[in-house]
Amino acid sequence: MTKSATGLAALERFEADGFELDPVGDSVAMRGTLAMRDPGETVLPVLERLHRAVCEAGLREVQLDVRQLRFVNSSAMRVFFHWLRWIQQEPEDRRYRIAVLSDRTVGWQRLSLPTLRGLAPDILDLV
Amino acid sequence: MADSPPKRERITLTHLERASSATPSTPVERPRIDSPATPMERPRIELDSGTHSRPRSVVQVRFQPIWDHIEALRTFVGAYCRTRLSAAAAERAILVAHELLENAVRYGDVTAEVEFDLRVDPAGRMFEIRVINDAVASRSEILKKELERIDRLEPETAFGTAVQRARSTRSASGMLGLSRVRFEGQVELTAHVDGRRVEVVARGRA
Repeated sequence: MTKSATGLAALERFEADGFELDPVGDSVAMRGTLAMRDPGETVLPVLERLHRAVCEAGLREVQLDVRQLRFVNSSAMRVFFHWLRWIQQEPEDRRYRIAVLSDRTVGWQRLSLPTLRGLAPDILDLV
Repeated sequence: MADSPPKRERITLTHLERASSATPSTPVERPRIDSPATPMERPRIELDSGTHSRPRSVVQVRFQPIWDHIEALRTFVGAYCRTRLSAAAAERAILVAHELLENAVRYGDVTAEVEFDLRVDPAGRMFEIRVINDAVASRSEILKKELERIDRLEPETAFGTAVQRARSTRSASGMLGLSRVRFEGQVELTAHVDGRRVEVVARGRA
């Protein structure tokens, strides 16, 4: 826990265009709307830093809280594809799981997250 | 300039029923059609209150294809639909509006205006979103092929395969939006391609 907190504590809260990514402890909260034109240029580098921090901290699991992420456009969904792929490309001893805290009353979370999980069932947990 | 009139094509996706059943929620009320007792008897159609009311245009906007306008319209659609539709239906309308507008702005002719039309029936049982824009010829073809592809599949399957495809392509234009609109938005999609003119209509039950 101490080791992990150190890893994610190095990350700063990110905010842009109504989207917020907030690393706290072993968790990351995403809030607002993720619908910018080029999420690959804005959000993807932040996720990449997060991914590296998790790997360096030796975490086996990260909790991703998206309950307050109300809207994600299809372009931005691709950043999640990248994140899953980075984990899959890591050596096995550096891979970690993402436990997603979701709100089933939010349409995209109820319908699209299971499809996303289908891409990496060994990595993505919907809790 | 070509002398012959542009070819008009219409593609209709007809999986509204299956899309609606993908997420069990409030039962959809429909006009009740009583089967005839004898072959000579004409069917009796009973319309319940509200179903006679067709979706009326709430707002029609023509705008330059500028990204910031998408957010403005999405915000408007959300604010308006929350007063007329259920929260879940309003959320679907927001998704549909955003994705169709994004397609028009991202892949449309930057010199031509985008037309947006939101319709909601007075009883709050149906919404319709129409987006019209000019596209480059290659994009019209891609759109047509994608609509034909997803029409052959159940909404959830079409979305799942689009996700798989989008994941394996580096291009931002993974064509994820339309199948997501159909699956998550639970709408019937109709597209008209008239030369460079592309019109996409999404109709959903609230």
